[in-house]
Amino acid sequence: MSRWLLRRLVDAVVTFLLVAVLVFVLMRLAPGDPLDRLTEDRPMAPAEQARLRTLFGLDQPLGTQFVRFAEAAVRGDFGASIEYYPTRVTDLVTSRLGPSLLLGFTVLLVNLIGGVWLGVLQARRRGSRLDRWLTRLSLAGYAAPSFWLGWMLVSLFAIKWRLLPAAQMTDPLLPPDAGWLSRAADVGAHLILPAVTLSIVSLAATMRYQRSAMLEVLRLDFVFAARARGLSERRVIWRHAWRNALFPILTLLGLWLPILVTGAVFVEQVFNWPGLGSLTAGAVMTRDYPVLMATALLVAAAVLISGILTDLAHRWLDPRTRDG
Amino acid sequence: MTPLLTVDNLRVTFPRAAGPSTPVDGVSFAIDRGERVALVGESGSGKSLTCLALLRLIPNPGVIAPGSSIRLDGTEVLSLEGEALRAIRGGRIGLVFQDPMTSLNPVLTVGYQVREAVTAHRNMSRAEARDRTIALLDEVGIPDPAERADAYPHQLSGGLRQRVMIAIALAGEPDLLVADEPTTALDVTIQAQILELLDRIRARRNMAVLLITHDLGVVAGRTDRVMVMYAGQIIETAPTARLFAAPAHPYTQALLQSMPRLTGPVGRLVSIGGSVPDPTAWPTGCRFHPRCDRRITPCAGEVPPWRAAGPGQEARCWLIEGVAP
Amino acid sequence: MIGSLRGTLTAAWRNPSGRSGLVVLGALIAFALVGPIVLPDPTRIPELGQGATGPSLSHWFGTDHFGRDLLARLATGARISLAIAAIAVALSLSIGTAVGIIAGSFGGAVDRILMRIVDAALALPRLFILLLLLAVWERIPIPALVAVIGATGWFGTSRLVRGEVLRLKHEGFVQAAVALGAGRTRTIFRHLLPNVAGVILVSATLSMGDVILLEAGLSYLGVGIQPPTPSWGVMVFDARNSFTTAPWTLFFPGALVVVTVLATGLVSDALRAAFDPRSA
Repeated sequence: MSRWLLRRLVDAVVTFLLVAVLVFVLMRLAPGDPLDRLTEDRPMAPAEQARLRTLFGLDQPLGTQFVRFAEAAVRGDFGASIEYYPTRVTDLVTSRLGPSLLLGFTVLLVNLIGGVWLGVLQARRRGSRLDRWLTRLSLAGYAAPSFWLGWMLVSLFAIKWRLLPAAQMTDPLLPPDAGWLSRAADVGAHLILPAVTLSIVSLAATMRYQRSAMLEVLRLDFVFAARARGLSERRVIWRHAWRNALFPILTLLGLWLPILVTGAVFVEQVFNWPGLGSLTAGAVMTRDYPVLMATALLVAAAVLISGILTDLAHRWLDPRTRDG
Repeated sequence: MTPLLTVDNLRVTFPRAAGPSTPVDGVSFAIDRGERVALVGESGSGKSLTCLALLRLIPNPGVIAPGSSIRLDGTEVLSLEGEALRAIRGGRIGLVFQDPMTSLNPVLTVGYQVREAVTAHRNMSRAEARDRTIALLDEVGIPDPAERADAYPHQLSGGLRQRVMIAIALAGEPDLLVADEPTTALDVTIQAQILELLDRIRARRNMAVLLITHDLGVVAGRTDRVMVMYAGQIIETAPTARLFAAPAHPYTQALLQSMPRLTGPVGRLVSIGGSVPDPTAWPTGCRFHPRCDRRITPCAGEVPPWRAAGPGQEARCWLIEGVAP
Repeated sequence: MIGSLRGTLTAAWRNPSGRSGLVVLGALIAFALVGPIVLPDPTRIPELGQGATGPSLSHWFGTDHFGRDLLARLATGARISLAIAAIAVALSLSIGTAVGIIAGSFGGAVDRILMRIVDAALALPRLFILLLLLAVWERIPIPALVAVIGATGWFGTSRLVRGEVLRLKHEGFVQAAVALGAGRTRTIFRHLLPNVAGVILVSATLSMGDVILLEAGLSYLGVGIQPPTPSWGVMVFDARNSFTTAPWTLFFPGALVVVTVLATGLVSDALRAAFDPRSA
């Protein structure tokens, strides 16, 4: 077990280093350097440009640039943001982490409860009208561009009907001495629209995985055997079938994170949610490449870590590998 | 005395693109209390579906056709729902599946699976349920039952797993134990042990046993009566000794001939030509006629009626001259 | 192989969802081909700027806030979106299939190195790979955009194909072909390729939808199709605040993306069901 974990960790570290190389190469693959693109929107004196080039190390040869980047990345230091100069990228990212996690875990919860339940329901009613329509509906949700869906929901619920706040995570007009309860309610109200948008676009993946995983299990002998011993249908479905359909779902969680992160870039941008997604979208729009590199590496790390965690959970839940 | 179980005109149909398929087509039989009955047939004859139908466990999209009847102690099983149906499953009829590897849930301990079968039919405390579980594992001959209860299926041998399946089937104190090819997936040496165990338990508990098999060799000496199934129908029923001595239906005769014997002169091993027909298009008349080497004029056109062939023996064949039952 | 492919398409057509998907896709392709020819110039801003006007007889889908015909802009957007999706997917499928077959049939160090690279690429969501590449690229020309999208979409396919090749390698007919002295290339093209065609086709229709969403997203963020060329993503960005004054300018471009991606999804489902009936 510990040897397996060690190997898995070493693997992940090697992969992460490759990702770092990839990130660096990608940034340098485009013609010109980041500053060219930057100065397109912001007229700058040539002397000023040269100064910035030196400041960001863009006047060095590529090899030196990579070594600097790698050293800095290992220290967790990505230099200063261009847009928010002189704020350090690391500080910027840290300050945006909390809101992103809040939104991410809310959507994860919706998926784990709603998506799993609907997927199981579909598998149980396989081929029925309900199954077909749930498939189409979830597919339509997946097919919606998250930014468009976000703007539609903002337009309707926030601007037209004035039911929910349109942007940000908190109401700036909230009195500073407000109690924790009204503060939580305020954040909750701001959370609804972004969470709903992200849930709609991500639910289809969970439902489909759950449905097909459950279909695989439902035709196995032990499900018949469980029914044959007179167990209640709820027990047969959840204790016997679903427990076994959990393994593919765990694998899904690893695959699902990129979907969530991608959606978050757009949804957080639309709702001006102060998380990493809106930071990334903003960095793209303002060509703030140090920030972009940092968020990309952070996402890759999250994907790799969640991969290890799901593998661990898999081994822990499956008695056949537990003692192996 | 009314029989324990009466099955009347049981039909199971599956919708297919090419039209409905009827793998079980008009099966009728009865089993008395404490009786040992075998249902014998090739794979594809409909015998496994027949036993799943007894518990209303026909896999989707199959259905039991209207007009069928399954009565247990006078209660119509086909009209039961919910709680009452679950009381039959495991409570009145216990089912032992063919492959103990796939019919035990791999992620739950065997003790858990026995215990939930116990508590599905009796209200009892955790401690009582645990004692009952260990007693059941002990009854089916599992050594160190208290310890083995915490094992997962993959940690047990095939023979032990099948013993666990039997313990689960016994958990609800059933009146009828249905064993669907209980030894097919096991090693030859284990097969005899499991069959003996079933015999011993039946004798001790005075349950009826319905043994489903493709192997007539398993049947001899272990059952009172044999029913032979072919192409979705029962075509012959006879006391076991009588069936072996004087099979009436040409299909039964062919089955017996294809079975290697340990006693008597070494004869030719005959295999039956052709294969079981397709349930979407059963042959007309007698369903065995395309493979029968003794067919006569009415065989292809008209369905043969049940005819008495000997004491307690009946078969559906045009060749049988009416013998007074 | 052609026979089985035709059979699959027939099966997808018989599936009601698959058929509606195919019909909608057909209609969209017709719209993309014919629309830009018969409709007014989608980039020309009328001199008598009348702003956004609602759907009318002369402008069926209304006009945007520059007074440009929305339907014409949608049609050109459809042409660009579908063309990018088709070419990029073809590109990434070719790369993915080639890499998968090479990794699967050569095995050893080649396999390990290739799969390690794929692992690294898969750890980074595709959007991020593209953002890193495009954020510093000044007004990327459309062919380069297609190439870049195509070159970042093959990682999953290569895994799939590699798995399928490994599975097939152990099957009788491939081993028989090798035992009979068939060369490696011959084995690959005669035996392996036709058998992975199904996997590839399903993954192709699925990634069509992904690419359409991706291109819309990149254009929305300003690093994809550049104005004044109309694209669905840019149209949503331009109309993002106009819902209360001119709802059609926001609704139609996004709804068209939904319809297109939904149609590819339905076709993909129908194809998958035809290949593997158990999954339906």
